[in-house]
Amino acid sequence: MIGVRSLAVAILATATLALCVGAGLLRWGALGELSAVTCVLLGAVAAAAVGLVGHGSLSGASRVALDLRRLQLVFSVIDVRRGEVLPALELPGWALRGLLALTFVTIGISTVGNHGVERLRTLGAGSPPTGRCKDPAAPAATPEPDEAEAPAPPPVDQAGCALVRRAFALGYSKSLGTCAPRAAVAPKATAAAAAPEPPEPCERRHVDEPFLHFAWRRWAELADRIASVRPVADTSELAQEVGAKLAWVDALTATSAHALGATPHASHHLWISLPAPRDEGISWLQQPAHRRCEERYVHLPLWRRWQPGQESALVEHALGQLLFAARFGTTTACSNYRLHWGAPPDACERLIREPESFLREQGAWREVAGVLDRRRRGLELRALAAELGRPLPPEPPPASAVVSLQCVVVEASRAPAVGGQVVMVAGQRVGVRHLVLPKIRLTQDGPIEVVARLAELLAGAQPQGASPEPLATTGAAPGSAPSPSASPGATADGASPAAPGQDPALLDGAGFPLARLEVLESADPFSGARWPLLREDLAEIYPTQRVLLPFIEGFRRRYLAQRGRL
Amino acid sequence: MGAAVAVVVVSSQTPGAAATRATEARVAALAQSLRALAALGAEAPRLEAELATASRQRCGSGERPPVLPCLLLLAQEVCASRPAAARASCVAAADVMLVNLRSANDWVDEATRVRLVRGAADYHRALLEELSARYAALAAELVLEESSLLAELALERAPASPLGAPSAPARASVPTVQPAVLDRFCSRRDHRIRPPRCNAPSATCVPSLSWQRCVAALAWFVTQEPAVVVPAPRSTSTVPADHSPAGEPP
Repeated sequence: MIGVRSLAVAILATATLALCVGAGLLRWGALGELSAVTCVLLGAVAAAAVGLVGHGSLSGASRVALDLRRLQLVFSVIDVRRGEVLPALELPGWALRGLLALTFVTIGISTVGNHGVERLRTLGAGSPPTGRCKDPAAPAATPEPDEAEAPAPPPVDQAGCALVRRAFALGYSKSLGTCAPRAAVAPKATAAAAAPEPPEPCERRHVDEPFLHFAWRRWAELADRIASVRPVADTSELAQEVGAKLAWVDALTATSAHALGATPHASHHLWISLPAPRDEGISWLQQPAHRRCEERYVHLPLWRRWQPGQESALVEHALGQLLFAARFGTTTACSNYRLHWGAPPDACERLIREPESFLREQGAWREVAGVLDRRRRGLELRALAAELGRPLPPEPPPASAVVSLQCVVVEASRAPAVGGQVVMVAGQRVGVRHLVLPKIRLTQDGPIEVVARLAELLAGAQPQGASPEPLATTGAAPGSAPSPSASPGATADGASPAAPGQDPALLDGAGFPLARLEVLESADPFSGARWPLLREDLAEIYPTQRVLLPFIEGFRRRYLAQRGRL
Repeated sequence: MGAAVAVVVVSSQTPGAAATRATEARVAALAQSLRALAALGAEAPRLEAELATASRQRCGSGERPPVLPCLLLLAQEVCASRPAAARASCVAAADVMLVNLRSANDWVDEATRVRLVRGAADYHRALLEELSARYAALAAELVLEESSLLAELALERAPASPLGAPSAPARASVPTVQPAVLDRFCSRRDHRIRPPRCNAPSATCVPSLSWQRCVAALAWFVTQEPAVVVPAPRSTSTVPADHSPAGEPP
C-alpha cells in the first residue's frame, strides 16, 4: 500500500512537468539560458513554498493509503495476527520535498522565466521614491527664524562694573560711563532661506517609500550585483589562467624568490689593481651590509690634499664624487656597486676571455647571476601577461644597464688605454670596460685626471667639448694592443698648454689681483685648461666646486641614461 | 752654515711654504682693497657707476659678463685720470668693483633682472640694491663663522708672525672685518654643500662662489653698508701697525 501523501506529491510533480513540457512552456534548452538572478529567485520562491506547504505535513505516515492489488483506498490496515495497524509506504521526507521543489520550480520557469524576472526587477522604476531620507517638502518641518517677531535680546552687562553700577544705583554717580550695558547683537538668521540643500544619497528606506517597495528595491539591488556574476564563464577563465600559469611556474616562483631573497636590482663591479685604501684591507664598500654606504657620502669632502701612498683613496674619492656625492645632483644607489681592490694585473683580460669563471673566482658570480636571472624572469612574466591578455608590465632594462663590469689597471709599464667589449654572462650580453693608467698622480692636476679617466671608463667619452687628450680607445683586450703616447694633458712635468681664450698671462699682470683671478672662471680643466692646477699659489682658492659641478652633472646625465634598475 | 742655508732655502720652496706665501699675498691685497674702499667713502659708488657705464659701452653687456682684459684696461684708464696720490687707492678699489661687475649675473637671477629692467628707472642703481640684499646674506654667513675662524687663525699663527694676530687694534674709518678672516672664509665656503646657482628669486639664496667673488662682495658690502657692524674680537697681542690687518677698536 502506498500512502496517499506520497502518491499525491508524485502525481502532482509528474503532471506539472508533463503539462509544462507538453504545452511548450518548458524547454530543456532554456534551462541553460536562465540567468543567475532567475535561478536565485526561483530557488528562493521554491524553498519558501516547500517550507510553507510541507510544514508539518510531510512527516509520519498517511492515514489513507492506496491498495495496489485492489486499487481502492483504505483508511487503515490492521494486522489481525499482531493486532497492530500496518503503516502505509511513504516516500522519504527529502524525496517529497524534492518533488515539491521540482513542482514549484517547474511552475516558476514556465510562467516567469528571465523575462518575467527582469520585469519584476524594474517594477518600481516608474515611480521612484524621492530619494531622501528626510522630507524637506513640509515648510513647517524647519521653521525659519522671524526677525520681526523675535524679541530683542537683553542688554549685556560689562564685566568688572559692579561697583560702578552700585554707586550709580545709590546716587553717588550720575552716569554709568563706560560701564553702561551695551545692547547685545541679535543673532542673525542663518542662511536657511538660501537655496535648498541637495538631497543626500540615502541608503535607508526613503521617507515616502512603502515598506514592501523598500524590500523589493533592496532585492533588486542585490539582483544587480548577482547579475554581474558569471560563475561558469569565470570558472572557465580561471581554469585557463591557472593552466597558463602552470606553464610559467618556474618564472613565478623564481620572481617571488628574488623578491623575498632581496636579490639586488642591479650589480656593478669595478676591479682595481691598487691595494685597498683602508688599513683593514677592505674597502668601505665591502664592509658589512648593516653600514649604509650612503652615510659615507653625506660628509664626503669636496676636495682634499693627497699624500704619497694615498692613490687608492684618491680613486675611491673620485668614484664617490662621480657617482654618489649628493652635492652634484642625482646619485646612483651605492649599494649596487662593488669595488674589488687588489685585482690581478690580468683582470681585464680574464673578464673578457672567461667572464663567468672570473666572476666565480672573485665572489661576484652570485650577485651578477642573480640580477641577470631576475631580469630574465621579468621578461618571462611579460610573456605570461601577453598570453593572458593582460596589460604588459614594463620591460626590464637591457642586461648591460643593470650589470656592468669594469676594471682599472695601474701599471707603469703599460700605456694608457680605455675601451670596452660585450661578453656573454649567463646567456645575456654584458659590457666590460677597461682603463689602463701608467701612474696615479696625487698633486697638481693628477686628481682631476683621475676623475676624468674614471668618468670616461664608466660612461664613455664626452660627446661634445670632449677632453682634447683622450686616451687610446680600443675594443680589444687592454693588454693585447699597446696604445699610443700618454695623455698630453698629464705630462710628467705638469706643463699643459692653456686652452684657447684663457690666457694665463692675465693672472700675473700688474695690479688688480682679485679681478685677474676671474680668468679661472672660464678655465675648465676637463676641457684642457690644466695650467691653474699646476700653480701652488692657486691651490687654496681654486674654484673646485664650480669646476667639478658641470663636469659631474654632465657625466651623470650620460651615465644614468645608460644604467637602470630592475 | 751652508747646510743651514740650504735647509732654509729648501723649506722656503716646499709646497707648504708656497701656500703660506700665497695666503699672505692674498691677505695683503685684501687689506689694501678694504682700506681703499673705506678711504673712498662716498666716492666709491661714483667710481663704481663710472666703471659700470664704461663697461657697458666698451666691454659688452647683457647675459655674458664683461670681457676681463677690456675691464682691466678700462679700470687702468679710469684710475690714470685720478690724481697721482689717489691712483693706488683707485686701483685697489676698482679691483673689487670689477669682480662685482663680472659676478652680478651669478648673484641675481634672470627673472629678477628682467623685473628690474622693466620696473626701475635706473637699472644699475636697482641692481646694486638687489645685490646689496644678497651680499647681506653672505655677510650673515661670515658673521656666524667669524668667531671660529678667528680662533683658528689665532691658533695657527705665532705672536711674532709678520701678519700678526687676528685680533689687532684698529684705526678709525677702517672696515669692520679682517682680511685674514675674509680670506679663510671665502676659501673654505664651497667646501660645504652650496647651491650651484640661484634659479628662483630669493634674496637669501647665496650660490656657490669662487674666492675672488666672495671676498669682493663682502668687501663692498662691509665698506658701503656702515649700518652693519661685524663684532671685532678682543686684542690678545701687540702687532706692528704697518702689518696689522684692518679691524675695529674694541
